[in-house]
Amino acid sequence: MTPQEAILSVNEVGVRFVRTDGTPAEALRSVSFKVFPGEFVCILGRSGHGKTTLLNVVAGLLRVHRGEVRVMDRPVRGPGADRGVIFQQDAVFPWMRVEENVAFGLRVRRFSKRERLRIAREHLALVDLTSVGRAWPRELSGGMRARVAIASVFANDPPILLADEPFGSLDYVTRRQLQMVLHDLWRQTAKTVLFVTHDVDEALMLGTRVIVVKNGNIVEDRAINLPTPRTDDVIATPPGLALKHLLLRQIGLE
Amino acid sequence: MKSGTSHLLGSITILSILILGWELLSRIVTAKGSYGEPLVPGWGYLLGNSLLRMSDYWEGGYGIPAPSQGGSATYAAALLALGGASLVTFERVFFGIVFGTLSGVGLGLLVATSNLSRRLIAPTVHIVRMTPFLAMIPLFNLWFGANTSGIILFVAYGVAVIMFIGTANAVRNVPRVFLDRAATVGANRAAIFRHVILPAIFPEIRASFLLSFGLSWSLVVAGELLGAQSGLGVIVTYALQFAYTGRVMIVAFLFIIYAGLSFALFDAVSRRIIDWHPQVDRRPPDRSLGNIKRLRNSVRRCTR
Repeated sequence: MTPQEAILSVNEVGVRFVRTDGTPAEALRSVSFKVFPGEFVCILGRSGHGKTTLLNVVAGLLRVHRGEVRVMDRPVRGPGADRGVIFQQDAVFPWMRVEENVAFGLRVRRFSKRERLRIAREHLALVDLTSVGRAWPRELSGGMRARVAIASVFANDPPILLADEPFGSLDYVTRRQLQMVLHDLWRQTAKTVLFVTHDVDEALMLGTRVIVVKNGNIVEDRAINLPTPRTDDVIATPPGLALKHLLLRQIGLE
Repeated sequence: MKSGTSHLLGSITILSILILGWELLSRIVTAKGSYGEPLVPGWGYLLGNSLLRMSDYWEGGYGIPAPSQGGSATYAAALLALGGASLVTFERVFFGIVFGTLSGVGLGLLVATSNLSRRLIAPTVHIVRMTPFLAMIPLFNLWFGANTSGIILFVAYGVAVIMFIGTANAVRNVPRVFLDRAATVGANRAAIFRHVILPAIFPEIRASFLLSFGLSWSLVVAGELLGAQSGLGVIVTYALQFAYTGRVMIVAFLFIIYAGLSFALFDAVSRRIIDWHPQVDRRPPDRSLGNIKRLRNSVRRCTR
């Protein structure tokens, strides 16, 4: 096997911050890993253990105190269109119609109006939102807005996609549906995904690899070799359950 | 529809009670001012004597003789006098609002988006905002004169202070995640400013604008009361010297009407621009109650 070129490498990254009472704290201690093209990596961990910090560092939204992040062998110095982000909070611009939201990235990157609308409508169709292109975001449900966020990020076609618990605030059924939408889009586009979640089932359902973060350190980094699609039946097999127990133990349960 | 009608009926009832109550009061309180004019003039006196005597402020023209040149007091002359004075005051309010809004919003954006200008401008403006507006009138009189340009500058100053604070706060309140999202799809600073910051702050700016709109009418009267040669405030000044309560009240009514109309006009126009906003009251326009509620919300948003 020839060693493949990593698309993303995180090298000994440490992030410190100061608590409101003035005491320093370390969100990330010294985190290193490489991600290869086409991987779907789930960053798993409990709240407050550094998952979102890690994602923000990769996105270029947060400065590191030591170490560095490299994307396609260039150091990350800030956010960029090569790393699309699906945010934890609703980031759909309420002052733009749905299709303008999806086309926003293309607009600031100076695509022609005709071209960006064509791409936006194409991506709205992929997430099953064709009929609401001209609607205001306020007219959409939370699940539909999450679909808009997915369409927006794929329309901009970044090689790397970062997702920060994007479905955390949705109801169970909607969450399951959107997991499938994201999974299908990932398979069709062969993007590299870094997906932050606190949900072991979600990580098992989506990931080709799971990295467990605890107290600002990586405590587990493991390929998921379960067959796809990962239905509940697949996860309920002995290897699936064994993995689930392992991950639960690593994030601090049992 | 049904509730709209009942609101209208309610408004009419309350208005009627107020009108009748005033008339009643005018018959009970018959005290007179130092020049013999009733202190609580009834409607007959207001619309007869007081409105008619507005023709005293008519200087002649359009074939309608001025009482000061020997003509008799006519309603035509009275309305022309009021209309002329109103136009002069409109002009001052209008340009005051335009200059004040442009400079206030401009400074607010500058301060909110650049550290250097924040350090340079913010302390000065914050001292200025602590100063009561009315305390500044004498200074404006001395510096710019009690003429149209001086009053325009005074109104502009008051409007600019309100708009500055509103704008600077609005930019600070833009949710972080919107800026982050824009940056991660490849937007540069200029694009973020144009596509994210400007639309995101518009609702808050609109609220500050509604506030400064109301304020600008007060400022223009205050400016005109002290030494101006023309405008509605001057009519009030003269009327005050002779204790013409009725004339003061007529100008006050005019101000209520003007402020209300301009408010409703701006509200209707700007409402279209923020059609996207989730919190906009989209009920059919019901001026009597809706405006109060919206104003209260605006104030709340501004003071938050």
